[in-house]
Amino acid sequence: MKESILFWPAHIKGNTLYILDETKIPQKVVYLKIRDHKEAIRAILDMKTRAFGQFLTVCYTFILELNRAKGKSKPEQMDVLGKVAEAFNKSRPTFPFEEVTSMILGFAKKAYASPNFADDLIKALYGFLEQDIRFQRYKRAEEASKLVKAGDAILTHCHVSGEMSLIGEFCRRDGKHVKFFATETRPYFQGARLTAWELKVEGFDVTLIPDNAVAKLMSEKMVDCVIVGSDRSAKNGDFANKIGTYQIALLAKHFKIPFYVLTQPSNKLESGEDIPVEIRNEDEILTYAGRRLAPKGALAYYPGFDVVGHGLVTKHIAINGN
Amino acid sequence: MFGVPGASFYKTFKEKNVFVAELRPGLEGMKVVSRGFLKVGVVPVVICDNMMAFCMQRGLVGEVHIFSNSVDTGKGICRTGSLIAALCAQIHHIPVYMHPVRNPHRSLLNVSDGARASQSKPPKGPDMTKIGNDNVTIQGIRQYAPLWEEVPLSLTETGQCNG
Repeated sequence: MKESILFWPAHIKGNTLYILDETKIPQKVVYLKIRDHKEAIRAILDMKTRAFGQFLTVCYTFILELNRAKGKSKPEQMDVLGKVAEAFNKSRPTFPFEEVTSMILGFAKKAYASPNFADDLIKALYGFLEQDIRFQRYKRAEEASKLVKAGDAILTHCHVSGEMSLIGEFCRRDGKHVKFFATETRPYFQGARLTAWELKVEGFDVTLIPDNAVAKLMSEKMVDCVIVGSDRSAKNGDFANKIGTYQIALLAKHFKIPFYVLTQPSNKLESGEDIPVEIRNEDEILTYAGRRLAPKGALAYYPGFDVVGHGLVTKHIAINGN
Repeated sequence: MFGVPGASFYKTFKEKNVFVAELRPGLEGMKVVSRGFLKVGVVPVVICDNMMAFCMQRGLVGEVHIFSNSVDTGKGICRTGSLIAALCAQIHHIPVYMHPVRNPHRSLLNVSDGARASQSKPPKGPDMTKIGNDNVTIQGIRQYAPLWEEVPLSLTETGQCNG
């Protein structure tokens, strides 16, 4: 099945991690060369990669640092892994870095008894990513595609790391023509720059809309279902996603439109109230490409994410099939 | 604040803490409305149009103001996004006030940055792929950016459009 480059936006070659710089798309397809965890965290803080790209970046950075630490003793290698985990955990608040790093440290503890500790751990991580995670994401996209009927118009928000075009591919395979509406997703325009571009490049019927046109479309029955991704989930089914998702979920409920979310379940947090929402720099709203858009003196408020209650979700489509 | 009020609105508006929705694609909220408030000494806080429900959910919004250029059979014709503001406000039990606007098109013209919200005939529509001269995304992507939508007066506090 054809994959968008955004489906797997990072990879390792030699001793370098290559991260797709999503801020340059669609004007350029550029990969950042990352050599250690500090550079990886800088890429995350600058939103060069996001969502699933952050997950891949964490996993691959552990591999990178293990490769760099190969001459060291096992305790020293474990110490390196601990420091890398700690640094990622402090990077951004909403994405569950601690869950990802804890999982990797769990793999490390299991592999610790092996005389080939580093090699075995690297092998386990590659296997986890390339087989387990890739397979699960395909399965999730296929399940989502089965909820869509021929002729449906799907509204999506922000960008689901290449999975929306995969849903389209499954629909295409099943002979179902579907249409997409992509919100532009201010202030970073992930919908305009990534989703709409990706769907257009992959040959799908896609229309870009401003974030404020969602109710208009829904009220005129132009949307048959909503599919969004999620950055973090809670035990009760609440989830956090890019700012604007909550608004769309409320509207979908009001207009009786199915609202589906692609999730990765977690039991770490009880409810969405426990998910911290990152507040980002106001300049990211007030300026574009280094140029100020707002009059001098105006302020801005930029919550990066919002939390959607489970009661607004028609169906969670989970990566573990839960 | 969602929409572009008439010039007299700013002087009569009593609140000092104001969120102003930016109003894509033309960004008139960020530019025109913010400037209007700054002139009367109110420092506006700009939010993106997709942040309204978040601010309401967090208890940061006490009332919502939208603006209508005409009223017809129980509905106001308002800037697109006003329906989101009104519906989300209703869900969060926040009062909505709809104000009439004279010469509503004037404020949509001469926007120097952001996409032009053109009212010329036939309407070419705003170009969402650019901010000023900077490309946001590639050309050739189909766009749908309706400038106006209907908002039922029943969603407003008084059930009517009033100043």
